[in-house]
Amino acid sequence: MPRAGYFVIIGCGRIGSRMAGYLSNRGHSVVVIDIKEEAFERLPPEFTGFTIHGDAAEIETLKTAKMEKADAVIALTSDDNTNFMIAQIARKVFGVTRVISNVHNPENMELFEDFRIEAFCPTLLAFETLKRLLGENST
Amino acid sequence: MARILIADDERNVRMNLKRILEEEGHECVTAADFEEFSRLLKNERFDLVLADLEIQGHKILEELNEEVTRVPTIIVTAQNVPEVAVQALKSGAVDYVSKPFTPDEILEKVSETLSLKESPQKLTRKVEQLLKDGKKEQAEKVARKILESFPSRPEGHYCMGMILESVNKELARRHYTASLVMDPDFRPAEERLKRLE
Repeated sequence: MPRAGYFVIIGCGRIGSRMAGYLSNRGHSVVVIDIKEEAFERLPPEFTGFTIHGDAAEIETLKTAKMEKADAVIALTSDDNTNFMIAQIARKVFGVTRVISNVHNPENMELFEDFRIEAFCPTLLAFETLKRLLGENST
Repeated sequence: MARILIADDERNVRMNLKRILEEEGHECVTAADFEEFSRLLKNERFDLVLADLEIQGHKILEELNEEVTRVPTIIVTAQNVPEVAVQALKSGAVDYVSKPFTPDEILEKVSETLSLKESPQKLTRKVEQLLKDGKKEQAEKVARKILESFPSRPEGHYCMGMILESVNKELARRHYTASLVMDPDFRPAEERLKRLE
């Protein structure tokens, strides 16, 4: 297994909680931040990381998470603007080299990529899967 | 590798620490409550303890002060406040790490603390070797560790003297003299001092 890493996940929704459990299970240290405390109830039993109940748009919350030490920051809130802002702060203020973000609106993908944020869009991923299921992959 | 006792009432923290340390080859024993922690600490041999400042409301540095002073203890706590750290160190803990922690932070603190367990003689040989290799900064770091860990032994001042000899002979002389105050029969310092005069 590679060296144990340190990951900061913002947003403990379906993807965030699942990812947090997976990374924990792989032996990494994980911090999950969410503004809603009840969101942490989604974390699976294999999660052995830390939870921070707070607003990730506040710099103090990100400092508490020791964001500057993160091997990767993963922005998974339900809002593209928030994700973009967190990704920018992670890179510019905390000097994090790997910043990954969820992008809800496919039209925003280009903007994220222009700012060197590794972005993925669930809508586009679902669209591609659906095309494949329908055998429409070749065109 | 070391035998480490991990005590925290948060399961997540215990599992996380255990995983990080076992991956490095350490043997870990965990305690989830104060009673278990206290029993293990009193009855079994450990090279190092990693524990929360408070376990089930029990202030471990106050209630288990004798044991904590005997076994090197690193405090792991959610309270990232300088005053708490200072108080922990004053009460006998050797180091302090705040939650959340990274694997590197833990491994660094653990390896630093375990290296303090080396004898002053062994650490002195390390300083001599580092100086021979031209690694003066590292040598100074080790020398300071000796001074901090064994303040009443002559080796710390002796090492500082060796490091300073090439840049400040007077200061080096003072360190050798201090070393001889601690132990008048400490030959290496005596020889060095003679050579300087």
